Amino acid sequence: MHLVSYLLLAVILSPELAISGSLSGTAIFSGKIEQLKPYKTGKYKKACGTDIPNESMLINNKRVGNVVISLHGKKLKKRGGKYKLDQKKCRYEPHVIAVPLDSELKIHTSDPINHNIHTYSFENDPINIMFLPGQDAYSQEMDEAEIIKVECDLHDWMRAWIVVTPNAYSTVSGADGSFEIPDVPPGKYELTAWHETLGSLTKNITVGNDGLNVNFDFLEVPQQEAKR
Amino acid sequence: MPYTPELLRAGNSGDKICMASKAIRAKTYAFLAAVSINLLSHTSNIFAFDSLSESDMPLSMEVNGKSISLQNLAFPITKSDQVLSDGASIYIKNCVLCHGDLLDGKGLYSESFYPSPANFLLPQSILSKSKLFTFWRVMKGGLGLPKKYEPWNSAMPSWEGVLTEEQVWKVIHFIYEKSKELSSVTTQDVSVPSIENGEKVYSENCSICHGKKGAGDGPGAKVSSPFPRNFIKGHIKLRSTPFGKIPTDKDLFDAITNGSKGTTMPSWEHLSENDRHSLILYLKTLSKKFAKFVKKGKTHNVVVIPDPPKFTLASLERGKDLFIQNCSACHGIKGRSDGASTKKIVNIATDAIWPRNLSKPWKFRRGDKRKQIFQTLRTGLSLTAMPRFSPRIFKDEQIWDLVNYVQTLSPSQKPKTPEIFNVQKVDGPLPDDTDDPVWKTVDSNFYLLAGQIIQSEKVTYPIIDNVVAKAMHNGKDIAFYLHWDDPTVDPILKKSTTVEESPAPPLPAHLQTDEPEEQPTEELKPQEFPDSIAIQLPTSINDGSEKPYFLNGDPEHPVNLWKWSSHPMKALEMTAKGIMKINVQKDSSQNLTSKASFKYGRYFLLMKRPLTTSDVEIDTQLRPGQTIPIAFNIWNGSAGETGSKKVISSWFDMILE
Repeated sequence: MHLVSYLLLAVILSPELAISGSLSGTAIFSGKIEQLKPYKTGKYKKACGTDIPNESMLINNKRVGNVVISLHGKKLKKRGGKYKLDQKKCRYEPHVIAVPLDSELKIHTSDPINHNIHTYSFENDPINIMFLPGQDAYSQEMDEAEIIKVECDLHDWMRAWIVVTPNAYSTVSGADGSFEIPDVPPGKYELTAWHETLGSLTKNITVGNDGLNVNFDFLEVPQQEAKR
Repeated sequence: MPYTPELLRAGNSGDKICMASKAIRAKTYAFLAAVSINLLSHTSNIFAFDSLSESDMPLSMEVNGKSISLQNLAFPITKSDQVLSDGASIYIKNCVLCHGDLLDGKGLYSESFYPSPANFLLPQSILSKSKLFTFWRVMKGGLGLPKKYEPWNSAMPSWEGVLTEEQVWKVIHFIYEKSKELSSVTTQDVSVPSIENGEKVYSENCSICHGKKGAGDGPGAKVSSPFPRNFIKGHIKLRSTPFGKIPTDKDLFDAITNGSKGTTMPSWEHLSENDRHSLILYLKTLSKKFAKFVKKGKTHNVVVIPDPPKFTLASLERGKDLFIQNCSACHGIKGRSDGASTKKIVNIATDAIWPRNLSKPWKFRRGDKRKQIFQTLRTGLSLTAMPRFSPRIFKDEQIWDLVNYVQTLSPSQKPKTPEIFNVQKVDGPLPDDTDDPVWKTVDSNFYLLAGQIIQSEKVTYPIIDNVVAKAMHNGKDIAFYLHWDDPTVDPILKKSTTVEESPAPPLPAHLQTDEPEEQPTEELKPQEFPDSIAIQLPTSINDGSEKPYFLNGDPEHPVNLWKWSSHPMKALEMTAKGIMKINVQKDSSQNLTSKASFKYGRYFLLMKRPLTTSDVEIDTQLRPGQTIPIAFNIWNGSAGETGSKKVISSWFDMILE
């Protein structure tokens, strides 16, 4: 048997790691914030719909959506997976996606007009390809941890973020700011919350056998770091 | 004095060979010497900089109110490794745009200035003279040439007050040492390419721009646009592999051998093949992508370029549709970088440079041959907004359709600058508009412009680099037709004249809406700085032998500027006695009329004035038969160009029929 398989078996059989809890919490911003206006699509109305929400700051009752929560620790080896990014109604679905290292990201289009997806990626291979209506999906392997800005060179409101996290212990907060990372092996870690506009927060945490609840308030981001 | 670009170019193309071997070099020098003698016999002083002799050097010169003896000055700085390395930094930051990275006078602006910037590798160059002589020339520049070397056409700045004496000495030591090294390239070839040799070659030749560790952050980076490539990321723009993928060894070899046209990256063909192969080995250690590629057992997916099919009109038609749908959003419908989405993607500060102006194929980085355009379309340009046109979507035939169409957006070859700007005489009234079909019958004159990098505030990488001029007169008035490419129009012009901008690519019929687009609620505002152009003429035209300093004249030799601006939109007569001494003439002396329009990334301007005016003291009086020097200045206001920040030309000769 291959060495890797032995190791894998050891991990699975290890009684310590078999017990694992769930990491959950909420991301909030307790400061004052102005609601952003949606974009008007003008002549693209029929193809895109009249309005496109400005998703760079989705805050509902202080709760922040689209926050990438990622766990960092040497023990965390789980990686990979299959993920999907769609171009739909002239926006990216989802607007923020967390994909673990060694994942396959499939980019689709569901729109009746051309888009040119352009990833500002440096560690991974950047993408810059035209999508015509009805075109087949394009697959890309994400093999370096990186925060990647995605834009459409043809429609200036279109933006998304692909966050390649070092392991599979990552998620994106929902519209209510809540997040959950299940099956976290007990241990000491760094937990990072990243938001495209509000900035980034990191906490040192210790996860016990029955999990942990952690909340983030982006008001705590040092002023010079916040992009606001 | 007619300038002779063809001869100069012949001289230039000779230099490249001179690096190859001593034997060829000797021949080249003989050839160049012959060319120079030939030039001198026809046109005195064209190498104003080089043809001076040490006897022309004054005994002393004044710098900062202090007199410096040029007779027995001891060099205040002696040569050392530190001095040479400081000198290299000073050179790359201040001299490289004209004199070139290889000291061969072939920097980016070498074709735009007459006389051409000095080539330090020529045996008769300034370096054959004493360092004191060079010190004098660098400190005083073209404007400080002795009177007999007028017409002061040399674009060599006077560096006193810009660089310290110490800095000038450092750069002089560097130039002498480096040119000695470059013109005695002994083919000390390593027998086998190695990473160690690559590292040595890199640190000697590349690190000044690309940085010690390859992060693209050497001293030259601060003054480069586009930035020097950052090798740590493993991406290069021109490859045979698809967008975003690492280059093949051959791609790297070609990039090193060919250099990158229109940038500060020269050709390194003079390095031995083994040195270049060594460099490739070393470059591949700078980014972990190459090792990962090998480790994962990947292979390059090299884009195949098939032979082009026969050109047909049907292909051209298909190409046009494909272009409008897929390319015009950035390149604009006439290909002049003025697309509806262009402004969004351009950010010079972050190295997001303008999309290529497709009407100037001589500036295509890869080259303008059909297969080269095909390769650019199929591979895309990594690190830029230029995507690849993947075979999954576009068949080879469609790419050729696009290539065929792109080639119709430009003249079939780069226009040549004529020796004489002929102004035809016509009977009857002169046209009032640049749209008048009569202009199609008039010779067009193509002039290169370069950033003003000589005095005061400078412009290093302008987007405007040429102007096309035509003119006619009827014995009473003269009319100039001018056009120049600027991807952005001053928005205020939409209020007062014809402005046609490239629309976004059309939507399919079923997705179009009839409703008018929401009108912008904001009122049209002028740019902070207007877009402007000026025709420059000497105030006093004698026999044509004594021209004012080409950069807006000098106190003894004023010039007239006929300057049109987009806001307030009008043309004004000005008198200049130097770049910072430009004054608008009083209202009663204004005689210009003008009409401007903007169409798809190009300004069109008509300017008229009576040949003679009553202000004989301050206005150029134009008389048929005379040789009249003419030059151009253009300001791109949206790029912050104002005052001394502008693009400029040398003097050219104009004759009225």
